[in-house]
Amino acid sequence: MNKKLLLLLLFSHFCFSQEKGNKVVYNLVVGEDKELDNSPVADYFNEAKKNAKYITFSLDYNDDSMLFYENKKMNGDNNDTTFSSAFSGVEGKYYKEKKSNFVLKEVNNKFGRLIIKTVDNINWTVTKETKIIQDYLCYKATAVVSTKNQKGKFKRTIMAWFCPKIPVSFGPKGYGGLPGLIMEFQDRNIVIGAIKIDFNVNLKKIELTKKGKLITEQEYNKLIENFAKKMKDENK
Amino acid sequence: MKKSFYTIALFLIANIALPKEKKLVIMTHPCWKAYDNSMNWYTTHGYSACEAQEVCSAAVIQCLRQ
Repeated sequence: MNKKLLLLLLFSHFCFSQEKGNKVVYNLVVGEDKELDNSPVADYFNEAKKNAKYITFSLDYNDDSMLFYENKKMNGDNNDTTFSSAFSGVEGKYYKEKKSNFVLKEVNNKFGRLIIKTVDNINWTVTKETKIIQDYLCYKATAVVSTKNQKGKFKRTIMAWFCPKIPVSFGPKGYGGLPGLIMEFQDRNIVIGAIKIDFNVNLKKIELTKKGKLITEQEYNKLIENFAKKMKDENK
Repeated sequence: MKKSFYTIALFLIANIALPKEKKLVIMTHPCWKAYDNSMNWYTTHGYSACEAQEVCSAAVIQCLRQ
């Protein structure tokens, strides 16, 4: 009797923690960057380029929300992707709801378990330029984004190829706000491109663990800057 | 891989809390100079702290292993 009850509980847990949704798998290309070639991390950058092919990401989404994350490596895959992962700029899991104007990023690192809130205020410019990605016609969009650090404010252009035939405004790292799924995303020399799409498949529930401390992106940057300053002072 | 990353990270964080005279040798290890150099390079080239920290931290771990 007890065994049957246990099986029933396990079965119901399995059923309720899964849901139907769509899955996009992306690969990673770490492209050339002459500045990085001459930087203090040049050796690591070369390693990142070499092993980027072993990394994939998933974007799980349904009508309401999305989750973007790096896929775990297959058993027996001994390639060290530490630097490819680090250079990719993807850190932890990114969660976004369709109706919200912010992305929540869950990380667990030396600063603790955190949920970092980033406001999505990107103004995309959609162009007429097209290309086919995974048999889908995609349009190019660009946007100017800025970063602020101790050395000043910097601007750069990011690029997305989105597919109007898949009318969801989601994409890698929580980027969205376009009239279609982002099939390819480029920021500096990093390209994250769709290699597979599966519709209406069983997915793990699209959610974050909600266990981390909620902070803003600015607060997270400050945490890291303070840590870096401490390291600098210690080594004077 | 991840386990050793966290072990080293935990060790380093614990070390930060120590008073200066009791600090472990590792804090003045050249690898931390590398961390500082890398962070400096990244900020000069327009990366935010959170964009830079993944690479810089991974670089320190790698350096400490050698």
